[in-house]
Parts: sequence; structure tokens; C-alpha cells
Amino acid sequence: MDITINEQEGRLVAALRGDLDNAASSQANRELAPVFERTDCDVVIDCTELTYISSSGLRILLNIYKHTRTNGHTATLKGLVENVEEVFNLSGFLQLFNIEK
Amino acid sequence: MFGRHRIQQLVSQHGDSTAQQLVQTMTEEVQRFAAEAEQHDDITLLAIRWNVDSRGYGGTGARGREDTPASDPASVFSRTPVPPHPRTSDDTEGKSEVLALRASMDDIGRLKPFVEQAATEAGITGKEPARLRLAVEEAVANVINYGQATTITLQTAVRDRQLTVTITDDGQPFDPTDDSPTDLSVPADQRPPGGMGIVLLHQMTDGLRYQRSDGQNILTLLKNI
Repeated sequence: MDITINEQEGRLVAALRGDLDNAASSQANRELAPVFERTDCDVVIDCTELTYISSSGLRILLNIYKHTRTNGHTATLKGLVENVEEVFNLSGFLQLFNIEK
Repeated sequence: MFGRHRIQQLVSQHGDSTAQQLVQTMTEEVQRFAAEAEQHDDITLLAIRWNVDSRGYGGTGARGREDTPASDPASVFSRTPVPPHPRTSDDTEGKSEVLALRASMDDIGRLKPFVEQAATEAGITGKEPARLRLAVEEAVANVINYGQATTITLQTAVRDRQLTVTITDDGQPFDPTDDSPTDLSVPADQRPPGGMGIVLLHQMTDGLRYQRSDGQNILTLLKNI
């Protein structure tokens, strides 16, 4: 699991690479902490290279969604591969987040 | 399933038996356990009794196993023929692999190669191996997070065009097949926390069976081939 965070066009973009399984989720939680320190911008979770996600990863993303919405900003999932999109769909995430190709 | 636990129990209870007696006892116990259930596969038993002599070596001394006299009843082999039963036959039928995990998230990484290889060898292709891996991970994570188990054992088997992954743990009783399903009509951010793993476990498999036996949870995930 590899995570990078940067700002693009006024949005905070967190790019997730690899498998976000239960073994990776505590590391992911730590590395995504900067997202929770920002209250002033929209957040994009770039999943283009996210190959796998389980419920522990979903919980982290749900917390990002709640944090971002609480501050009046949007939360977007970008670039979902098939397996990952199915999990987001079953979880009801596609109805919550904005979706970008 | 009769299971390794029962086998271990029987062997320790009948430690004084001859190999012949042990095979006899085991066969009777399996038949008693199966009762009227239809036999799916052949039953093979091999019992070996290792007689340790005063030098601390096995009774056959320095000779190799091949040299063991045929009259020495140290090992007894018993085989029950397969009853007539319609079944598919291919190379993967009956193939079984076992993986023992510590009940720790550090061991979760070992699931991927184990499950995906079993799926691929069973002829499951496309996105299905990854979906099965997710189901297995959710079941195992649940045991680690809530079950207070010490060990978790996975066993795969192929039978009747299905791959089964049986997860056995010694933790608190928990039946994920009995869990009231998460109400998916409630928006995800308003649902009570947790429960998502169980939803995925159900969605990513073609069936689930649960049994509590000898202080163990035995959860079997079914995947059509």
C-alpha cells in the first residue's frame, strides 16, 4: 500500500496504490491523517491504482467522507477499477461520494 | 465435517491401542458421525505405531522403512471404497490445502496467495479469485477483531463443482450466517458502524455454512466453479 497526498487545482488529492486490506489499514489510517487536518477544501480519493479494498479500508474512506461533508466540502472517488467499484457499489458508497472517471 | 480436532481427540484417547485397533475405532467413529449421510468421497486411513526402544530409536532400528518386515503389524492401512455416487471427475477433485494463521492482522497478507492460488487451481477465473479472497479476509478479520481466537485454520477443498474454504477458529461463538443483514437502503454514512464485512462475505460467495463444534467455529465458504 502506497499513499501520496497533494493539492491539485485547489482540491486535496489522496492517491491510493496497491491493496488496502486489513493488514494495510492501520498504515493507511496514519498516512491519511493530514486529510483530517484540512477543513478548507474538497477532497479527491484517487483510486486509479487501488487494486483491492476490504471493509477496514471502507471505514477509513467513510470517515474521510463524513469529515469533508461536515466542513461543507465535497468528497470524490476517482478512477475505480472493476473489483473496487463493485465493493463501493455494494457498500452504498457510489450514492455518497461524487464519482469521477 | 468430522475434522482434524475429532481425529486428534480419538488418537489421544486411544493412545494405547494397536494401529489395527485405532483404524477400527476411527472407522466406527466416522460411520457413527456420518449416520445416514451420503458418503461423498472414499475414506483412507493409515495408522502407524512408532515403538521407541531403549536407545531412543524407532523399533525398526537403523533399517529403512522399506526393510520393515511385512509381518510387523506396526502400520495398518484401511480403505473404504467410494460408494456409487454421481460426481464430476477432474484433476482438481478432492485436492485440499491447509493454511494456519495466528489471530493477528499481521498474518492477513498470507490469505491472498493462499486463496487466489486455490481458486485458480480449481479453475475459478477472472475477477472471482479476488472476490473470494475478499470474502475470506472479511471472515478472518471478523474472527481476529471480535472472536478472541488464538489460531485460525483455513482448508480448501474441491467437490461437486464447488470450491470450499473452511475457516476454523477457537474463538467466541459467532455465526455470520445468522447475523441480521445490514439494511442497505439506509445511506452508508447513517448506518451503525460495522456490518459491512458481513455484507461483503455474503455477496462474494455462493453460499455459507456455519457450525459450532468442539469449542470451535467452523465456517465454510462455497464458491461455484
